[in-house]
Amino acid sequence: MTIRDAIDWGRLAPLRLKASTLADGVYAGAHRSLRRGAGVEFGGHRNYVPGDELRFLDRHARMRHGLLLIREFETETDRALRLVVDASASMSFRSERAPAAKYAYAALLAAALARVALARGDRVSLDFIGGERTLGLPSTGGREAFERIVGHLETARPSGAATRVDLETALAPSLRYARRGTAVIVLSDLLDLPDGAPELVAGLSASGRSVIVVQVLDPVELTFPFHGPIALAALEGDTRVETDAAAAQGAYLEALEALTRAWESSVVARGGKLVRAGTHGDPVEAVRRVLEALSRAREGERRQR
Amino acid sequence: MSFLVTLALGIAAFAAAPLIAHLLRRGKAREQPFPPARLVPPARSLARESRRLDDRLLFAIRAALVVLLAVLGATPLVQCSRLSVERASGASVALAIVLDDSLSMRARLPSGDTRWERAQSGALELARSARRGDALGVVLAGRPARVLVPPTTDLDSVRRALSDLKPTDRGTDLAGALRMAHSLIAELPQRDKQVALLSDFAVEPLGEAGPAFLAPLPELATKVDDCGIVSAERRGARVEAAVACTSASAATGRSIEALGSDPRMGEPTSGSALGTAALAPRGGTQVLSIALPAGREALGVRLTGSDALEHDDTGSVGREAAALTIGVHADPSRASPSTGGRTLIEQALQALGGDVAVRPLAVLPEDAKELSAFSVLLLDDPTGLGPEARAALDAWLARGKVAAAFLGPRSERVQLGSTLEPFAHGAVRWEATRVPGLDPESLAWLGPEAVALADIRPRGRSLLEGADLPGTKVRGRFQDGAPFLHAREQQRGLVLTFALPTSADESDLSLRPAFLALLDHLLEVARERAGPSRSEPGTAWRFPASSRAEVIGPGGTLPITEATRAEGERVFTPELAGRYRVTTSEGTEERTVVLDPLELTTEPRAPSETRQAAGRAASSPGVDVSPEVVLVLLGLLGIESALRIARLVPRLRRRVEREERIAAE
Repeated sequence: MTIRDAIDWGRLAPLRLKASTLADGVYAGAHRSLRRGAGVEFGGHRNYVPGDELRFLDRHARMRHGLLLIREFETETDRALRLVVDASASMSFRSERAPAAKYAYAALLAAALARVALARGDRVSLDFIGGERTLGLPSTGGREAFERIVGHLETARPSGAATRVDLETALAPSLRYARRGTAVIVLSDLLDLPDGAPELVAGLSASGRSVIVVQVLDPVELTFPFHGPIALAALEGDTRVETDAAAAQGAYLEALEALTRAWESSVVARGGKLVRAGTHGDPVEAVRRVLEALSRAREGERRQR
Repeated sequence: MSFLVTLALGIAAFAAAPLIAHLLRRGKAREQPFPPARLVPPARSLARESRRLDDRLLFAIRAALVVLLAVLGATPLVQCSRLSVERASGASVALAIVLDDSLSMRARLPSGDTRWERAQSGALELARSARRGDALGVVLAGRPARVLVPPTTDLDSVRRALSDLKPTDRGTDLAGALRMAHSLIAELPQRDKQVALLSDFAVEPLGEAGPAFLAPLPELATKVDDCGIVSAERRGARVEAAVACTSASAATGRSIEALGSDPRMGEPTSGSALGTAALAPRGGTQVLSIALPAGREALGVRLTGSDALEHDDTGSVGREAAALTIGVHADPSRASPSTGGRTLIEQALQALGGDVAVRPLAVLPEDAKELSAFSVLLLDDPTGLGPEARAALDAWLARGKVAAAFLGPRSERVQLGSTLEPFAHGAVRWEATRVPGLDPESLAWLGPEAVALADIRPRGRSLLEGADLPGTKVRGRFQDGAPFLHAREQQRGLVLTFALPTSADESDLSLRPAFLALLDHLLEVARERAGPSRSEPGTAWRFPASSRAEVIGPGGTLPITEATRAEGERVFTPELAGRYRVTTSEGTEERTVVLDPLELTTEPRAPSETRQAAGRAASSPGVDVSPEVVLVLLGLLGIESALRIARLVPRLRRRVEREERIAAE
């Protein structure tokens, strides 16, 4: 079995080509890229310390008050994109009605988002929650970045249960390195994440970061189309439920909605957004919705500031 | 039970297949990977319960389907009390149903039904079990035997005819009915030919020899006690009644009463009896005389007590019966046997017995009034009839009489001024012949005795060819084809002309049993035609089509039995005993129909085992329940389909809802 075979890519292969095509179809003006130009936003004053660049010395304050103050700026060009992809075992699920596994769909969205960001000159990083052969990618940019990101996404193999350690490990780089304005996009089914995961993810929103949670679900998970007596086995853990499909359908859908609402309330409360995407849906539309959600989150963060 | 039937029934074992499949499937719910399984509430017991009832119902239906398919394959194995056509090879059957509609069939069995009701329902069951392609015919065994329905594949018409049938007061003619039934189906294309006889067998034994038949209702031969009034006649101031009883116990303590009204005609009998006479406690026929009060006239009689057959416990009192008088004009020197004594015709008529009186006539009467006392006139080797005699004969024949002439050597020596009319036209030539005898086939209407006439070795014969009068029909021929018997209707009368005399010197005709059969047939025709004052049920009364005729009897106005006969006759056949009023253009007369005492006194007996051998299987008939089984099968399939649809509809509805939800998301 090759690494490639471990992921059910279905109709989403090859990822590189699909992601490029997908990115080309997405409206590329979802956020401003101001690395070049006059887009400098004043961030406040601080006392001068030896070593500061003199060009940031506020001449007007020196002349008016006789103080040596350094002007600080926050630049929008530092809005890097941090992708956190769930690679736990549940993401390998693919039903007969889905074009590919949930991980494949999440990887496609991640690659497309990365290509959109890279095309605008933003830097992109990649982290995984759980999984095997997962290799994080630090914030990077340039022509080679997309190839590296696609390679890492293809290399990863979703397996195992996502523990709290896995989650914290995946979110730690974002917490540590992401500056104000950084967009953190978490792609997961949100189903088997450890307790406290919503709060951990929502916590990324601190320090001016914009958090978008993309819930990727299989159409079977969205509709529960079973009938008759059935035994359902989770992919993570040993949960096995024997039930009557007709009787359980309503309760299951309510529980799924409750789970999603819990995540949404946690994320939205911190200024983030939650986007649900079914693997049977149009990925272009999904990427577009993610970018729109990101735009709205940044707008809200700007107004809040 | 054949191998195929066993094999078909073996299919029933597969009824367990749905149960086994159900048990194998029951313990294993389909396992499905589903990441959010922890969000699904367990509902195992509910799921099982919800399916249990459906599963049990479906299992029952499927098992029933398998069993019914097995039964369908094994049909007609299923046994039940219903009669059905037995199919040895499963092919179409030609079945003649012989249904006894005689008086004894009216008797009530210990079960409560009458023999007739049981026999009629049995015949209907047989008719209903027939399939398309079967040919059914119905013969009635009341004397004389007759065909009710010729063999036909129109089974509905057979069922209708059987449903409309009513019992009669006739005697029984099982042997004739069996012969008729076998001849009916003999030429049919069906290989399997059967005769089903539904009778009480209250007749003389049928004998061991003869065609086989099935007797599927042996209970009809159950013996019952019965006394019945055979006949009752006025004899001056008395009523003489003949009563027949099956046994002494049936007659014990019973008496016969003379009534002032006729219960047979539906008249009230509430008044006191005019006279009474006690029955002797013995079986058989007994004649009782009832004295009537002066000036009173009895119209009906009634038996006291009750028995198994109420219908014959009443009777009509008829007028004093006149015997059938036969005039015989024959030359004793030529027509008597060489040993002397009376002529052969007279001896033969006496040998026939019955209610006949034979009067020899030395000279033919020349006055119609002198002939009026006779019902039949027989002329042996006449030398011609003078004009007066012919005129008297013509007038006499017009009243429905029968005249027969046996032409011999003297017929060619007709005296001057005389002719042989109305028997033959002109002079009839007598010739010597070497023909061995008569053609039995041309005389088949005489019955089996006709065969004996094939070798009567006539020395000579009268040449009837060219001597026939208008309207003459040939009813018998010599073996060389020359006519032996001419028959001609003359107004209401019948004229018969034989080509041989009765003399034993000329042929053996009068020495053969067939001669008795010939005379018996002639008397029977005379009774029918002349309408004797007393006859048995089933005797046809014939009247010219040109004459007005109305017959009113116990059952009301009699319908015309045959109105389109070639002879142009109106034929009435009384089926019930009693008094009848016959109104014709010539006036009104009263006729009485009396019962056959043998019909009452002959005890039922089991039919011959030998003759039943071929039809033994029909005593436990297999019933073809295919149509019923197929209907039940279709019904079960419909129920299963409905159940499945009932399950499918909510499933489809949920699926549509899911699709809509997915589309919305």
